[in-house]
Amino acid sequence: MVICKFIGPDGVEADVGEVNQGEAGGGLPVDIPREATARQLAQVLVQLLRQGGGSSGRSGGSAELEEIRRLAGKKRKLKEVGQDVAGTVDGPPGADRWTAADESRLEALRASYAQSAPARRCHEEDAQDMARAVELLQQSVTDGQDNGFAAGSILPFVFYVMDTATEIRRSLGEALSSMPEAHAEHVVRIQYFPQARFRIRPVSRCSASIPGHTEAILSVAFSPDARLVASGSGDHTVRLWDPDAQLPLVTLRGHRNWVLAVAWSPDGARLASGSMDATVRIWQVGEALAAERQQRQQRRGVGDDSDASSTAAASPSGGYALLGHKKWITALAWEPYHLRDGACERLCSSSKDGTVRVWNVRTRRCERSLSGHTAAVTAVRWSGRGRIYSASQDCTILVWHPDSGERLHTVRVHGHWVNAMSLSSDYLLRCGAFAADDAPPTSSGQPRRRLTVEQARQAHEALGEERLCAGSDDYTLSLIRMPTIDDKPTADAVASDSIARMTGHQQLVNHVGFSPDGRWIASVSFDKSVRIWDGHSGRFVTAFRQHVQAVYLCCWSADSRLLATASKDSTVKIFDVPHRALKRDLPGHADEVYALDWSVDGRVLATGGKDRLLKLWH
Amino acid sequence: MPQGDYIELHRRRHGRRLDHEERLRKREAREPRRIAERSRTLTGIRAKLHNRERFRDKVRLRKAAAVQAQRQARRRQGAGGRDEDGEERRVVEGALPAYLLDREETQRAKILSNTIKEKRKEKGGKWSVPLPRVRPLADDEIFRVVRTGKKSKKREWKRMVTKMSFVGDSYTRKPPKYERFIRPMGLRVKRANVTHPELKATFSLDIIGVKKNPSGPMYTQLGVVTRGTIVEVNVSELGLVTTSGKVVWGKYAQVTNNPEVDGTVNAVLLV
Repeated sequence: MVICKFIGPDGVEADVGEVNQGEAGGGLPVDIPREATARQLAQVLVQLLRQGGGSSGRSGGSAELEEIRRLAGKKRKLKEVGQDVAGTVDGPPGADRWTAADESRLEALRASYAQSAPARRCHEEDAQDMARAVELLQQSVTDGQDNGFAAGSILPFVFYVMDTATEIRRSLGEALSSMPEAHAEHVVRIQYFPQARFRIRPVSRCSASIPGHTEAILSVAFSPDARLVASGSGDHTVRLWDPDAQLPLVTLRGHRNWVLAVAWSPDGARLASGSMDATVRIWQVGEALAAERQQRQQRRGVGDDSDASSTAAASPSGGYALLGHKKWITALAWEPYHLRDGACERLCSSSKDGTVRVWNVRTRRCERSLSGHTAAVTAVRWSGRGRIYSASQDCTILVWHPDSGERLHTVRVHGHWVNAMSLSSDYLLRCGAFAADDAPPTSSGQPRRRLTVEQARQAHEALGEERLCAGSDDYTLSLIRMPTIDDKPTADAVASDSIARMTGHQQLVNHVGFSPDGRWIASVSFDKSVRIWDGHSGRFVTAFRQHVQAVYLCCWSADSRLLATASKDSTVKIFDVPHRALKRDLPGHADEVYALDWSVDGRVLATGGKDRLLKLWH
Repeated sequence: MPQGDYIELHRRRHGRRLDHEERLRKREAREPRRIAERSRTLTGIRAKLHNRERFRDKVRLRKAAAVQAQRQARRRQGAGGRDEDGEERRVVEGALPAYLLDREETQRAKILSNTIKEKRKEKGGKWSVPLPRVRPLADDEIFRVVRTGKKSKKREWKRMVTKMSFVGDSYTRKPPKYERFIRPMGLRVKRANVTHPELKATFSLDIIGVKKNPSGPMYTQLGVVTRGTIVEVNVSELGLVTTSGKVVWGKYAQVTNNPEVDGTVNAVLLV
């Protein structure tokens, strides 16, 4: 038997089973036999978390649970009767009908319950519950059966022995074997991390390389519903592609120079593109597709339809320009879906001229021009809490309020240009109006689940506090807990406890990325290495040195297990982060790879580069 | 024969006739008529010469027209194909992503865009080299006869190489007595200054071997490095990559200087 204590993903102790505040450390130790497997540990943890929820249920939690049970029971019953539950019908909520309102209520309740569960505390009188949990564990160990999770399924947690940072793969005893023998009272701290319940298959082959662009491809982005890919190129066009049919759909012309950045609105209806010609263009994707379809039909029927050419000439591609910047656009960020009730009409763009502009795409006006940087702005993010972060070559990161245009804070941590930023909520914001935690569909026909604004907000709140990671030309990264400084009045000094510096790169850091679950940070650098850091503490985890040239970009898979990197050496590589190994080497591009994006559902990886081909990897 | 530039001198002093420009214009305007008349009337060798001249003129004209057309086409293409408002657009090739834009100066020198060009070169014949033709070197220029033995003057079978030579690390000498070719230590070379033609950047690289000496296979075998010689150099430092993602480490370069005169080997990489 080993005395163990569970510790949450952010490394804060006493997350679960806090008995009383007076005890040092605060966590409730549990006796666990040495031969316990990860699966059994997960059962204990789930039990503990559930009990934590049950105890605080006096203040409303159990009522919530009751409601969930009631609704779920109703759904099950109706299903048994044979009513179509999936295709919900709108109608008055009654005892014998399953309505959309019921469905959304159930979803919302489940989301809120799942989110609040880890935070709940266990009280003193739950000691007997704890005893029951231990009993159950021992029972499951002796029986050798696991009641709870199906044998083949993926566990919802991974466990690490905190002192040695070894993962518990087979059994607790095995993970502890490297530790020196301690006395019987020693408490082993086990850190748990929630992990995705689905697995993204590492892409392994190039299923299509589609020509079309006549110059290098500079940016690639999947739409939030993973139905379309947009690519911006040096030939002044933006092209839309169908990743499933692997065909080009539309060519959007209008820019007068290289297209440097493309960004999809959170609802996937609009596409913004920023160019070297200092304009941002907004394209109505639906309109553009419809116009193209119409034109194609007319072209096909041009033999018998004489006036086809006149109407075809009149159909526009549906884009308009937002003028205002003086120099080229470096980055774009849409307002998150859950702010402003899902309007998806505001956008901010950063430019070489040192300003960040907030645009309203409905009124086509520039709402704010945020000027405060003294050099080019390199990256911009619109956080889920309604702040704009901008990183610049003047070595600062500024925090803005988009509505008032007020500068809230200046972060001066870097000694050279700040090149890239990433938020721990990046993935969620990218998914926008679509569910982020869905398992990838097996076929392409399934649409992603759309979220209500309320659900999106809850999903964002469930992530906890936002963290920002910035990579710089001074070869370091910094990790900043944003809420701690967001709302303080402008002050130059930032408390040192809110910032972690990560050193180790030997060349400038070009890009950083938070994993979707916020557990890892990946940074890529011109020193040819990819480094992985702990997303909570900023501790160095591992370095991948397989690239032979500068690495440009990285992209995480939806399940946070795989990392794809694009490099100057013309290859894309897939790394398996939990196992610290190179998973796949994807050669195929004939020249530098400039752009890369993994679809949010993890089925397809799209890359583009100097050789002008858009490659899709499956 | 006139002994000085009297006409020039007179023109400098007094200028041309007042109606010079007018006369010149008229003469030029008459030129086509004159040519036409000559082509009509000339016969025999004169006609032949005249026609050859005319043919040359026309070729020149056609070439100039082609160049002009190409230039115009490029301008049109660079403007993105459609230039509705007639605005002049800057044609900028070699598009770069936003994160590389401010690094252009430092980056460009290192960029070794590789495989496309490599493939093109493979198709276009292997030996289209910067120095297609070099002066052939005779034996007696490369070798100096070394006489051996005291008594007879006839023992003249030893040769000393008077040019620079590359001797691999793994080379083991024969016993000096039986060595036919002496490659002096002072004229040996291990590294070459190799210029990348597209980057205009020069690197000092290790020589791996001598691939071809244009003067003959024997010199290739001996590793004699003269002007025009193709040597293989170690480019692993440059980080060139093949399509399959492997690092290229050996690449050919052609020697552009006379190493025995300069004391160093300068070469151009064959990309």
